[in-house]
Amino acid sequence: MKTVMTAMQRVEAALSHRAGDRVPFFLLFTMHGAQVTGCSLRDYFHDAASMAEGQRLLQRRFGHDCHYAFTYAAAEMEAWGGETLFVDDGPPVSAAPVLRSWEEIDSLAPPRLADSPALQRALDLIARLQSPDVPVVGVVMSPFSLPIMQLGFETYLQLLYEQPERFEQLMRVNIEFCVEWANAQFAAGATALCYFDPVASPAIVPRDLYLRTGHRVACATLPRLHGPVATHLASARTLPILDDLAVTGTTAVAAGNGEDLVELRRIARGRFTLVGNLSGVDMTWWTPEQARAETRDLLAKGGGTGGFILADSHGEIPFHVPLEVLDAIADEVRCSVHR
Amino acid sequence: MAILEEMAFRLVQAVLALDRVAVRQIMVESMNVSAQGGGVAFAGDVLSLALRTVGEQWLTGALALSQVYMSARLCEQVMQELIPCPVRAQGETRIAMVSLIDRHALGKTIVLSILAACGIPVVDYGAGVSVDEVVGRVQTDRPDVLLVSTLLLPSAFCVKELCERLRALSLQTRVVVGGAPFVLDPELWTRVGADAVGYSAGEAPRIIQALTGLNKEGAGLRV
Repeated sequence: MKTVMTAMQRVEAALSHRAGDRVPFFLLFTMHGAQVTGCSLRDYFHDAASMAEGQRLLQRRFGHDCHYAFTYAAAEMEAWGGETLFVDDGPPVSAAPVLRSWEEIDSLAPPRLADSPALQRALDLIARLQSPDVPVVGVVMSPFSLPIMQLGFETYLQLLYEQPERFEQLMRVNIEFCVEWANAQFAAGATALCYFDPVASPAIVPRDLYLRTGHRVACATLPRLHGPVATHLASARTLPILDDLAVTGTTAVAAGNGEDLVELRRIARGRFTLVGNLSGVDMTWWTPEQARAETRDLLAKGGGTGGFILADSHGEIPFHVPLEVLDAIADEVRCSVHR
Repeated sequence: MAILEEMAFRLVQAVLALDRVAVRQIMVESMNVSAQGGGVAFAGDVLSLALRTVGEQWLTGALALSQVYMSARLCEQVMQELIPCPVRAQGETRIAMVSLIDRHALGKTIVLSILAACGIPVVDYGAGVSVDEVVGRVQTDRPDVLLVSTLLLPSAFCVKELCERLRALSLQTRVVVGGAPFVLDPELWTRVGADAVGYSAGEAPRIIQALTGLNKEGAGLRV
């Protein structure tokens, strides 16, 4: 009879490319925590104690293998002086871009973490969730993708193509912020971090441009972080740049929505752990039976020899996913132990 | 290769190279063909085919979104230089566009650039607009086609309420959706009650032409 591992042991085995007692799975909850604690989304995200309680309740119910210390992406923008819009049924979003002209980049300096209530709450959340048995996963926006919120998507693309010197200046500042913020999370007790970098995907920028820009940024950033990192492209395509990601120092890579895990594993060749890739969008309309079938399929493709963590493809379970679908996924993973 | 396809092919190469000089030259050539009896719409057809090709290549993974955006932007800029004040045709169908709920408007911007470059005027309802506000604008303007762009899944779900409220008011506006949620889930447009879907920005001119030629009582279609 297999020894039952803790979530921490299971995840460590997967990241070390060793077989565990079963494939670990992450249900990357953010908003559902408000549901189970009876809070409004606004109140929930403003209270570290509620967020910690939400993560613990969800982990106890579903038995997945992490606590997720991600609050919302716009929290980093609040540190830069931005505002966040809270709604009743969806993720908080960043309001207007914080940089309104090219010239502001010339004198830009990274904000102080201590001056940001939103980031301090996230660190408090990590500290509350610390446990020897369940890994805590935090999130940091990559310096290369952060400008989507800093500048707005269109303006950022124009910068990328037309203002190379200002792009380099912005990356210098963003790298310093990213390193400090990421290492603060590790110091607070995070076991691993998601390095959120959707702009890196060849769906967003062509590979040759990525190699001249975001790839250099990742290679300059990740080795400075004090813990393991999973590069996450927010469900966007990864396959054409997997070999490029392998040399950045990343420990794991999240597969894009619909990408073939068998093909990705062949390319990964044990250089990094794969994470994914249940479709968060499709989960909103799955029946429990469909959820089980999709889970079985990915467990078979991901393999039971280590180097794979089952998770959703986007890095955040959509609020509209019914809890019974998630129950079915969790149950199917637990049943896989007995096959 | 027929002249239309040949010009569109060269235009695709030029926009992807961000070669403003070449793009301008090709569009002037196509407008000269129009003037010499190639048909008023010839230049627009070249542009439409080129941008649709770019969009299709994005859908297959051959191109990145940034290339689609920069291509559309370049075409719009060149066409604004060549035709600063486009003439509205009489009886022209009125088109409106909105980025529903979401403040990120990149998809909307790309579509507007393509339609502007093709000489199709669009009323821009803006970004981060609520369902209430959109219903109010449609009640006032009564556009024939409303293009709805969304980035986040919750915003895509709001299209259902939008469509239901427009129908409850007996408004004849056809709703066309687009954006990441509809690409990730190709059947989502049917579940939210839209009349059509565009999986890439380049499809916009063709979708508008197809819809405005249809009986408004017709069933929804994928174009």
